[in-house]
Amino acid sequence: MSSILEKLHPDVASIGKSHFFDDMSAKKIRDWWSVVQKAGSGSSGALDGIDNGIFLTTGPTVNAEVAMDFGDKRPFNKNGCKFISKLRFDNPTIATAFTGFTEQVSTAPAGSAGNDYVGLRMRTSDTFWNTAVRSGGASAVITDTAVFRNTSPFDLEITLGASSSETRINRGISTVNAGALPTVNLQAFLWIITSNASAKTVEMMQCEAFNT
Amino acid sequence: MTINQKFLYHFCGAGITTGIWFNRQINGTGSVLGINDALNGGNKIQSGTSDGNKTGADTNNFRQFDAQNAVCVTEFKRNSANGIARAGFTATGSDVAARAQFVEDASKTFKQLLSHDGSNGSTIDSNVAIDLAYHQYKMTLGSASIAWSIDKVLQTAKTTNLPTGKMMPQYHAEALSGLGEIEMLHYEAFNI
Repeated sequence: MSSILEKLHPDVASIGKSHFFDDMSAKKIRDWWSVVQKAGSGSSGALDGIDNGIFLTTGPTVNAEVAMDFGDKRPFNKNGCKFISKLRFDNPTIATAFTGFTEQVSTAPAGSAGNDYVGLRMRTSDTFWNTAVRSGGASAVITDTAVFRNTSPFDLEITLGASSSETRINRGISTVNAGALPTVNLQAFLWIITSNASAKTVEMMQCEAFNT
Repeated sequence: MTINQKFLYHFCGAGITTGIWFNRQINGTGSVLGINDALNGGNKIQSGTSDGNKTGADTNNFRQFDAQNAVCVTEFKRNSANGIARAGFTATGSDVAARAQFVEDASKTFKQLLSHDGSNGSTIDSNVAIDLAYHQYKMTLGSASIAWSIDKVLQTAKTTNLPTGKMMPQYHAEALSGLGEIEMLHYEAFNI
């Protein structure tokens, strides 16, 4: 039997860096996550089904929102980290699901995913998945991918470098954004907010994040 | 293929998952500070300030690892100018138990490996100077020796006072001329 940690950190340069992995199996959302009902009602937990994971569900009111993150513990390097996840959204046409790295979401004001973030989202009124990057409270830079929204599971990947960020959906390169990088260190997050009066659910089946 | 017991924990996220680690006040006073909000922040545990105060965490006497046939790989650092940070295996929550631990001791020159057979213990120096940075430590417990490395560089094996029996994961901070503080980033253990 060999060491997983030695494989994750194969050289001296990789030692001493945070690595997070959640398989999102079993009976509950683990204590690694801080789940907050930011507005309206909602629920969260684990789903009972083949290939299911954990879920966040909003209540049936406009702008109901639920978020989970690391409770503002931010171990990830704004200039060198990676996020890998699998996500499914039950109704991407009348609500927003957003995931990736953020400075703050669970404790941010209602309707906000923080002043600094880089993430992938399915949003009402958009045709495609898009990348949203916000830097120091400036207006978010939104870049459409060429991947249509739907209710299937998607493999997501976000890579932050020193001067750009790259996103991939289902393993194909979707966007590359130069500039407008987050200005502070980051935590992983998942967020859902409604835009009409019906309940919506976003499901995450796995999440990995680490410094590079 | 034989599947042996394996344990892996990354100290990352909002908090420590309940039901895995048991916080233990080994001696005197201390506190569990929790996950550090910092780049590469891990779980911080701090002893009280009186010499010998020891605060740590273990798996509460659920001992699934073989003292003569197991591996521990961990990444941690000592955060305090004084004090001692230790991580590895132990047989009980007592500070006189059979055990094998990496030792980062502010009063020493080099990082050390400690082994204790339940009656007597001893240390062996590495060739790596003490410091306040994260390092990767690995020990392989055998029946005749403990092989160990720091940042993938093999150190001189230890052959005396080897532990026997069943072991559990453990780490702790210890006061020495002031409080001790340890910050744990990763812990892995498995039987060979």
